[in-house]
Amino acid sequence: MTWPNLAYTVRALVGDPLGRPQIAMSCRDKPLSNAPKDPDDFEQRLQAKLDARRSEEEARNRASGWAVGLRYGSDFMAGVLVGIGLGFAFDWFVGTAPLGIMVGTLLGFAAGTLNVVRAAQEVNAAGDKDAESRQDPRD
Amino acid sequence: MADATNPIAQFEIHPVFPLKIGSLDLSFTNSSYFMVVAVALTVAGLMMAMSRRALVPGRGQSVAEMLYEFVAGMIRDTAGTEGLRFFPFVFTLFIFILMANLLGMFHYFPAPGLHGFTVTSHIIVTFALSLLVMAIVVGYGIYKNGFKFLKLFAPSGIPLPLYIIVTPVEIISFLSRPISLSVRLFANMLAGHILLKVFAGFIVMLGAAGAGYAVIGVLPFFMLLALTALEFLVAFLQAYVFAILTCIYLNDALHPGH
Repeated sequence: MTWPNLAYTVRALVGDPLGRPQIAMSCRDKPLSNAPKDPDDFEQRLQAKLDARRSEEEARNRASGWAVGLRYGSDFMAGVLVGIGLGFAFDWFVGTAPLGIMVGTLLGFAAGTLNVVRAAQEVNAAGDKDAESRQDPRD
Repeated sequence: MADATNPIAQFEIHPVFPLKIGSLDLSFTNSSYFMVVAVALTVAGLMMAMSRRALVPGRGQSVAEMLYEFVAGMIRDTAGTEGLRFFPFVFTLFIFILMANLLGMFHYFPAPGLHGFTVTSHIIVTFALSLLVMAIVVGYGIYKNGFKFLKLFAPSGIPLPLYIIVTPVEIISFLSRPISLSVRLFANMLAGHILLKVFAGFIVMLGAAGAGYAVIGVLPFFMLLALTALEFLVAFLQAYVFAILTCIYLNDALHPGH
């Protein structure tokens, strides 16, 4: 945390001695620094360019819904298949048919669902990371 | 004619140098040929690109550095800085799959039989790659964390009786990883190339059907054009997905128990 940022945080937490309005403590509202924004500042212009480019890239990447769908599908299918396979193998060796394959299928469905949930979390996390990096990376 | 429009013929494996040891068929096939070409092209290309080692990179060096940055960034994002010790492995895997996918986009290629071949459209290849990933994840996970690696199958913070259900589910989920990893790559490449060939077959068939039909043959041609562009995207995307999932699984080996 840089020094002007620290002062800012303290002001947000304890209130302002001069009675200025309370500052909302959200990451988005945090200024880059307390210096006034100069439109000719190189870093400002660079940031604007980078933002524009990133949103462009994002718009292009959004077309990969097909890939995400295929990922969920294959994850779910693999879970079910492995569950059935393990249940079948258990039956084969222990001779409990058809109990093993029944339990295996149920567990396989659960594992497939777990896979899909994990995949969805990863996809969401990637989305969040994009949103984070869209803010200023310097603070 | 039948062979020209057969969408499956492109996946056939032909021996180039037949070699039989006992009952084992160890022939050098067109699949092996394309793997060797992929590796040779990658090594030669990267060596050529990096031979100058200029401070201000030229075109080739820029591409090589971009590839490096891309893979390194991917590992850092998913597995942290610790994951960078797997950089050579992930980079090799990524570049090999990407090269194999892209070589598959050639219809004709200086290869035996002169036709192109997609190495990654065979599940045995992708499955072997994903088993390699899993072997490294399990091997390194046990080497680094010892018994604690098994925590992966017993997440903390749930009531004791639930472990009877949760642990088998976690084990099945773990075992399903190599399958989903390999099936995804294989299915994408197989389906894409069959689709390309089917639409290409339409053009040939319409052209052969007679004067009136040949005009309609333009329609599948444009479809083919669009699909080819899509296939280039898929070729890159699937290599990327394979590599990033490898990173995510390696992250489990580095930090089990989440």
